[in-house]
Amino acid sequence: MSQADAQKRADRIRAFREELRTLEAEGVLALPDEQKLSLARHHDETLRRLSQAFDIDTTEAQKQMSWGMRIASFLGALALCASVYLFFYRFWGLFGTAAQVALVLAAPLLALIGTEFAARKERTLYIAGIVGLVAFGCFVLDLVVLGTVFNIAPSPSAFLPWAAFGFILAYTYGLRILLAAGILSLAGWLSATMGTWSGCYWLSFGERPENFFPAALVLILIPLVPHRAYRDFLPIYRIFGLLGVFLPILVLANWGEISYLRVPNARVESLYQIAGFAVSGVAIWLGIRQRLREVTNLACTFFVIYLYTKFFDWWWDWMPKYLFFFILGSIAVGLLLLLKRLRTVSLKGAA
Amino acid sequence: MRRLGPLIACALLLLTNAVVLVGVAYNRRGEPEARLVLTERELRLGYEEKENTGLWLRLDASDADRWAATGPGWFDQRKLEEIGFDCAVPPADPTAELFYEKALPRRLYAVLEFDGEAWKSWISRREQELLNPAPGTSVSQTLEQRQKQLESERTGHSRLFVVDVGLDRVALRGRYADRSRYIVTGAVARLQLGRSWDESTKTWKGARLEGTVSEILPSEIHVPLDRRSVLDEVRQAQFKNENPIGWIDYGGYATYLQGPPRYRVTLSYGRRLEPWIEDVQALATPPAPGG
Repeated sequence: MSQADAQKRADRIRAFREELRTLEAEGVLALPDEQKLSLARHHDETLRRLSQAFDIDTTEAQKQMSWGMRIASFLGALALCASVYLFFYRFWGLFGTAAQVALVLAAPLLALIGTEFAARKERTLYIAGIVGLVAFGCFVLDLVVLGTVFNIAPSPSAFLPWAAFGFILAYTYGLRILLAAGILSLAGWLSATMGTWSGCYWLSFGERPENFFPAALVLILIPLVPHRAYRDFLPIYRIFGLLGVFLPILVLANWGEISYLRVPNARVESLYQIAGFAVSGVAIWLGIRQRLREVTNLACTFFVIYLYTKFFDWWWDWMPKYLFFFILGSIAVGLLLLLKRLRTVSLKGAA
Repeated sequence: MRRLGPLIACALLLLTNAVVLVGVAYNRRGEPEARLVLTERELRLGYEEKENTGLWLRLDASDADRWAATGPGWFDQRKLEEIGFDCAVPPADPTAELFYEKALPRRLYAVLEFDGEAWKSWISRREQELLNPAPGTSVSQTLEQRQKQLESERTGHSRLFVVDVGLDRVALRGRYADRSRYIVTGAVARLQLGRSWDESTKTWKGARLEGTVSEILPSEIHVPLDRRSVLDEVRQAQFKNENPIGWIDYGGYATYLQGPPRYRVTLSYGRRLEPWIEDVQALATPPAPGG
């Protein structure tokens, strides 16, 4: 059982208890005292066991605090990475080459030991997540500094060990923040490699947003591999995979000149505008059908963004602004009604 | 995974560092691929950053014919095709603009010539432009000012010029065998559709394809601590001096040193074409003009 599974079970118990209280208050159900006591004991014991093993949130207040702690730990990790980076560059000129190499190698190793130590001491893994991301940042700094000190031309190959390091830490400790770091590195390597296959210099891979599509496809397909102990990783793969499709489409739908397609820019833009609506529409449908909340939400967001950017192109210059925003608002209400209808159909199908 | 993970991560860190360091050792083993003695004209001091104590020199190599009015020079369509650019559409074709604006930069090898024919040809062209401008050319400076500028360029401009590019570094080294005058290094090249607008006929004319070397890889050379002392003194003197010797923007495209160079650097390139600084010496007196 993973921490996510344990949390789900705890959420179910909490919901069950609330519903039982409501049913009792409405006079629909009245369990005998003995059964009620036995049930309460069983649930208390289950929650205690889960809480001990996984350090999950057993109350709504705890859950809200957890979100706050996650955000704080993410921001803290980013700030610490920036601090390590700036600290090194502030003083590295005072050291000889051997000392510089030793320092940048020692930093991720020490942070790795720190991650292991924190993971053993604290089951919530907030501190381990922070130190783990610092270890990742130190490894990035390590290769960047070695490249600078020895005047090595930049290479996309550096993304591979960074990706591997991120994935190893993510799967070892169950840290989603490290998974995101690994995914970004892998996407960087795949996109740069795709760019070099088309013959261009690897650092120019961003000049053709289509280079991100194969990486996005790989990320979307990864959740098909069974992830029994890491089920909470699957939405992260899907979110980054979909971002790898939606963001390039958004860029290409507005700047056709940076496409690989050698057709007039207006035609490229039209093509990607249609693709944007089609892909986000299919993703909404799939998200509802497969009950993948993150897919539905992200696809809805981009569907609206595609729509609004198109309206902006068409109407912003000539339409009175009050009318423009009125139309946007009306369309939002229309979309809401459409999604509501889709939801009803889906619920009927499920019943 | 829980037990093995930290060990695998640790092994990955050590292995990656080992691969990089073995590559560095391989690069510097044996006789250097090229060894040149350059001056401040070719290796300018990198920008000083407030929160960065590192120091690097920036390699200043000019693209000799890039801005020549006569055309693309050696980096023409034939050369572009040779290094892999698709030049299937004739430059004057109406679809050429759409076709060539999509061309992406390519990684290749460039040959940098130090103090050779390219430099001599460039400085003599500048002499012609400044002292004997073509009839009809607007000249804003006096003759004395132009003479001063020419002298300044003669003693301050980089003598390192890109003279060839290719995909085969061995073949390039075969053509440019003098390792004390020619550097073969990694570079990035771009394709451009060159043409000029004819106001009288309202059409483009003289359409042609030309290449440019947009980047030398690497162009920033790190200075290790044991080679810094001369450069630190230069930096300190520059900081104290009210009229520091500096680099002048020239037409927005090139830079040159105003005044005599203050240091000399022995720069070596290894088997993987990665450079390193072997030695830095202070220059007490300015070298003779042109040399």
